[in-house]
Amino acid sequence: MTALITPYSILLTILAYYIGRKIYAKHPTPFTTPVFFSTVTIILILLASGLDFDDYSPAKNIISYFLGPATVALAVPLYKNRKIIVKYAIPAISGMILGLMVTLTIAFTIAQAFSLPQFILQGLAVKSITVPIAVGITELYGGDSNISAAFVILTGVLGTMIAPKMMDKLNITMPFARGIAYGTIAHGLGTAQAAQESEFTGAVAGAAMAIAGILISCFFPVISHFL
Amino acid sequence: MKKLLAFIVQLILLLVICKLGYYLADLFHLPIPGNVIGMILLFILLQTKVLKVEWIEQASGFLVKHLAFFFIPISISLMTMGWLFIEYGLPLAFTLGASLIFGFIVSAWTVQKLSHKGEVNQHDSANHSL
Repeated sequence: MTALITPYSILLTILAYYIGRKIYAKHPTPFTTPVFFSTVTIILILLASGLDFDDYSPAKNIISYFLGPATVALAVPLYKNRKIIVKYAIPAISGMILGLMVTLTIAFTIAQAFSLPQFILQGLAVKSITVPIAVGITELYGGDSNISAAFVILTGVLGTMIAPKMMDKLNITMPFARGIAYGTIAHGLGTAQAAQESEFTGAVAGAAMAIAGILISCFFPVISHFL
Repeated sequence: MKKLLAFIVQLILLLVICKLGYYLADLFHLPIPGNVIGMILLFILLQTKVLKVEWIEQASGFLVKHLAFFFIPISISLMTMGWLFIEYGLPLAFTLGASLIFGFIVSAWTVQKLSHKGEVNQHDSANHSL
């Protein structure tokens, strides 16, 4: 019986994601974004089946294993869009650096104002970049990788829930600008959201996520001074 | 069947590049995670035409398209962090929400403003773009 829990968990995850995508395609609302929908559904089903996270853990390790090659695969959208990225390199890099500086400064300022503990600050420092890179940085510089992953995910999920309508309202309509923001601030989940808007937006977001990951990796010694 | 085989071979290739990235990061004590090194490595291989995009397009396209899927299990791990949200829920929500919103606005707005300016000066910049 216990041998079946892992295949059951994997199947459940695939099914929830598949259904989530279908629903979002028909009814795009903040609460039907695939990751939010799947997460809530799977947690409820696990609880109803009398399973806890330890039971789900092996399935998590198997699926998460592919985040490594998935990160490597980001080189492809980066390569395919290298011309347009080089052409708009200055606006793109300016947007990424300013965006990351603003999001980190605000996060650190508010967190310190609430006197949140050090391990939360360490998690916040990597919240905007994709999980495998965030976890990699946490392993290199210390901190709790579960907390880092949690903040990354929360940022990504919140980003896909809030950002599309917010950017519409603020008249940010240029797909290149939206793509850069999705990838820079909301990493992989933002990229998935961007890809739903158009293939081009998704490719730009993928490239932005990759570059944001590299930027944070390179500048982390500087960023960690502010912790 | 052939497609599936190609997909698996491509996936293995991406895994090997990823492992190589971790190996290099470890070997040279690089301050960058191995998977990022792997990504840079793949970009260099594509740019130098050692690898053709077509050789890895199926697997990489699939992984990038369904990137969100691979985050779901990590998201499920939030079910073990109830204590964190009970203890710090409100300040944490405020921190994450505010930093996210302003990060998005500044990032997207900067790109949009500067790109429009770029389009106005396109005649000048086009000559220098190479």
